[in-house]
This record gives sequence, C-alpha cells and structure tokens, in this order.
Amino acid sequence: MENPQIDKSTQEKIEQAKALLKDPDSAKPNIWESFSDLLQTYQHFLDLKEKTDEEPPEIAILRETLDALTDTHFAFAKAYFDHNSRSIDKNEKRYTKLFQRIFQIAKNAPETAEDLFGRLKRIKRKVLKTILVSSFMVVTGLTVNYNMTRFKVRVKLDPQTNEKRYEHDDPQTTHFLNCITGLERLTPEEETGLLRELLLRQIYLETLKAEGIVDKNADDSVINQASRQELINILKKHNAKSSDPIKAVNDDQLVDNTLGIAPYKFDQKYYEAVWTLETETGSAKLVFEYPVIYGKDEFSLGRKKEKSDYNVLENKVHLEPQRNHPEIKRILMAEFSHSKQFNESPVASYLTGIMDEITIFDYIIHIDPTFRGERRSEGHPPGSLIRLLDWSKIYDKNIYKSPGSFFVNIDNDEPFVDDFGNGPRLDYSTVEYAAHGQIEPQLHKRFDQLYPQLKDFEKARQAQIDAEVSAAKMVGQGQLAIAKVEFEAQKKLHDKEIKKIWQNEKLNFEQKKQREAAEDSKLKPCQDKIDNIIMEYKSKGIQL
Amino acid sequence: MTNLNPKKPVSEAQMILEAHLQEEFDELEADILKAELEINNKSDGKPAN
Repeated sequence: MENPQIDKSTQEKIEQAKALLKDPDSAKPNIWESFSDLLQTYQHFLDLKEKTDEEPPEIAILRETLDALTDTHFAFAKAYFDHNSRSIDKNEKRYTKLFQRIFQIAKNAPETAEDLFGRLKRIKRKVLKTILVSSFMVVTGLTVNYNMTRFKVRVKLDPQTNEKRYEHDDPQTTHFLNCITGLERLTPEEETGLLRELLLRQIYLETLKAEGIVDKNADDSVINQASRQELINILKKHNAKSSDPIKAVNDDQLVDNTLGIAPYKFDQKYYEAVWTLETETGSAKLVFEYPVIYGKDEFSLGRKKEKSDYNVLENKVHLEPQRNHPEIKRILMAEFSHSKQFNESPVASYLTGIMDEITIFDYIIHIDPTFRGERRSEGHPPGSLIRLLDWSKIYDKNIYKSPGSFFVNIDNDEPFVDDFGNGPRLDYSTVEYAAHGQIEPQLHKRFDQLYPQLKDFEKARQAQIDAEVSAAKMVGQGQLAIAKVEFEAQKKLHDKEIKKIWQNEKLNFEQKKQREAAEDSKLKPCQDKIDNIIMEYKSKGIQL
Repeated sequence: MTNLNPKKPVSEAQMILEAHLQEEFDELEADILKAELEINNKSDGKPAN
C-alpha cells in the first residue's frame, strides 16, 4: 500500500525492514553490524515520523522491526557482555600474578619495579578503555530503544467538573497515577496481586512458616493460589504477631493501610502537581510492584534489585507501595529524577552508567585489598571476586557520592586513605549522583511550589508523630513508675517470704539442735561406759 | 525475543586489540623475568627472597 506522504526511498527502506522482520537471522554477525542495522532503521523511523502527522501503518511496521532489531542487538549485547566479563577475568588473573612478582622485585630493585608497575598499570587502563569504548555500541542501541519508549501525556477538561484530567499513552500508568492521587482505586485483582507480592517478597514464606501461619511444607503456591480474602486472613495473623502492627478496623482498611496507595482524599491540586512532574520529567511509565530479586541470567550487571527504581530499558518507574503520601512523593521525585536525566541526555547518561559499572569493577579488582583478603580467607579463589551481593553493596556504598568522595570499605565505611590523606576517589559525577544529588532537589522544590500543602501535611504529620512519641514516653514513664512500685512490692513480698523461710529454717535448725542435744544427753552415760571399758582393756594390753 | 544465539559477538577489530594487549602482557612478563634473573645473579644465585 502506497502512502502519498512517503517518498520512494523511504518506501524501499520499509520493504527492507519488512524483509528483515521476516528473517531476523539475516541480521549481521557481530555487535557493530547489528548496531549499524539498528541505527539505519531508526533513522528511517525518524524520517517517516517527521513527514507524517498521523501514524500510518508503515510506522507500526517500523516499530515492530525496530523492536526485533533491538532484541537482536540485546542478544549480541549480552553475549558481548559475557565475552568482556571473561576477558576481564582472564586479564585480572594475569595482572594479579604479575603484580605479585613486581612487588617482590621492588624489594631489591625499586626503580626497575616502578617502571614495570607503570607499564602494568597502562595495560590495565587499556583493557578497561577497550571495554568502555566498545560499550558505546551497546549504549547507542539502548538510546534507540529509549527513544522508542518516549511517551505522551494528554490533558483534557472533565465536562462535569471542568477540572483538568490527564491521560498517559499507557493506560496502566494513567490508572496508577490516578490511584496515587486518590482519583481511582486499585481493582480487587490488583490488590490481590500486590498482597501476593507483599507476602512473598517482603514478609517471606519462611517468616509465615516460622509464625505457624502456613504449613511448614508449603510452597509459594499457598500464596499464589490464595484468594483475596485468604491473603487478608494470612496478613491479619501476621499483623497480630508484629511488633509494629498496622492499625485497621476492618479488612478493607487493613488492605488500604498496608498497600497505602491512596489513603487520603482526592485533591485536584495534588493530582495536578503529581501529573505536572510526571510530564515535565519525561512521562515515564509507572507501575506499582514489590521489588523482584533479579537472577543472574537477567542481564542486570549482577545487581540485586531491592527497592523502587527507574528502568531505562522500558522508561518505566517501578514504585514500591508506601504507607504514606509524603513517602510516595519522595520516592516518585527520586525516580522521576532518573527519568528526567535520561530524557534530556540519554547518550551521556548511558555512558556514565557504564562508566559507573567499570569504576566499581576497577575498584573491586584493584583497589579494595580488604575485600580481596576477606574473600580469599573465606575460601574464594582470587578469580571469583565478583559476587552478586558484594557488587550491590560496593555499588550502593560508593556510587551515590559526590565527585571527589573517597571509596570506602563496605564493612566499616572507612575510606581507603594513606597516612597523607591520599586514596582512590570518584573523579566524575556518577549517574546516581547526577540524579539524586543534582536533579532530585530541583524536583522537590518544583513540587513544593505546585503543592505546598504536602509540606504542611508533612509538618502536621511530623507533629503528630512527635506527639505520639511523647505520649508513648509518658505512658512509658507511667508504666515505669507502676513497674517500680510493683517491683518494690514484689521485693518486699519476696523479702517477707525469704524471712519466713529463713525463720522456719532457723526454727527447724534450733529444734534439730535441741533434739540432738537431748539425744546426746541420753546417750552420754552409755558413751562414758564404753569409754571406761576401752580404757580398762587398753591397760591390759588389748586394743579394741 | 529472536532466537538468535550469537556465537561471535565481538568484531575483528576488538579481537586484534585483545590479542595486542596479550602481547603487551607477554613483553612485560619477559621483562619481569629478566629483572628477576638479574636480582638472582647479583645475589650469587641465591633466590631473590
């Protein structure tokens, strides 16, 4: 089908794209060429979009083609990543071996050793640089993918109330943002899904088993197959055993207060503020979910996902349900800061992100001797330094810091500095610092301008918490006073008991003594007689 | 996802670069060995440590 708005060359490109779509294996044999295919098709996509006002079917085909090409590119990227990991591992072993030998040479020939070590460091830098430069291919592919995932938000006026209503390209995002602001409610199915995630990912089946709420031999299906009401019953039992139980007068309130998505009344201004920030930061998709723990195979660069986050591949904010609005706002602004960052400068942000990973990698391999020592003492060979959880810990401890910060030991937060105060430190602004240290404060400021009430609400809430704490302290003090009196009373009672026992004992002892004395006095004449007999025989030379 | 299972994800250029880096490692190792031998000779054939 010919479209008059599309010129002949674009039409040809579309035909090529269609052919490629039919046979994805015709994609080129390495990452550089798969990348080239991807970029070319992307360029056609952009050209076509510029020429047409509405989305013709060709755009949909190109979208599909780009999706397939992006998948191909990612398959290459993953294999490429594996290749580079093996390469780093191999080089790292060789580096460590040579470093140890140079270290020995330094004892006898320090100048020669210094020269050799300089060469070794240069090789190391080349290895890392190779990876960084070639990572650009992956990055640009990701950028294409990101640009495919830019979304729009439309504003309409509600014919009844004449108030603004927002609509995201993704209906689920519209729904969730409306839930946050109290315009809509979660459906019972969504609540059931979230309760399942909560029980399995936050509370854990093992806890429920230990609390005797589910059978000891149960598996995840006990939660995954349970109805909404059954899940609520499990939650209620768990809540009853909690040291900080969620207050609720009925089941619905328990669900509301646990998931806490829209516990307050709808407020048009709050609604507009949330949607304005959503639009101004790049209209990312949004989904409510409890965090998933990624497996090794999911190409997450070995990191464990354990909180709300922003996924650049999908341009999507994953928001963990929170119990109160200020907390939701805080996390939204934190994740929107990444959305804004990638929206405004995707290539630089992707490259910085890769640089962050390499920095941490470099740090693990060459900087942190404590880490290496510990792992070896635990029986891990030097080649198995990168472990999922440690990577995550090292990343979290170091990568959020401002440029110039020293790297710290993951176990005691102490920086690695020598006697002169020198040590390895971050020499650039990381993705996390740029987002949370620079963009996020601006977003909070913007939000507070649009909806100052939340700040007042936060203040009022803090005042309420303070009042509750102070009341609790007073109750605590009162209870302490009661306890003291009770203790005194118990002590006195105890003393009295002891005294009584002691008196009884004393009495018994005296009585026993008297009884013994009486018995002694009865026996004494006999004993005297025996003594006399013994003495008598002794004088005759007989020993009795 | 496509069923593609790339066996050769790396370009020829990168393979050459990687081989070159291994050569640099080899050269360095040779010089390290030379320095170790010199130290051994100076200490009358006794081990450096």
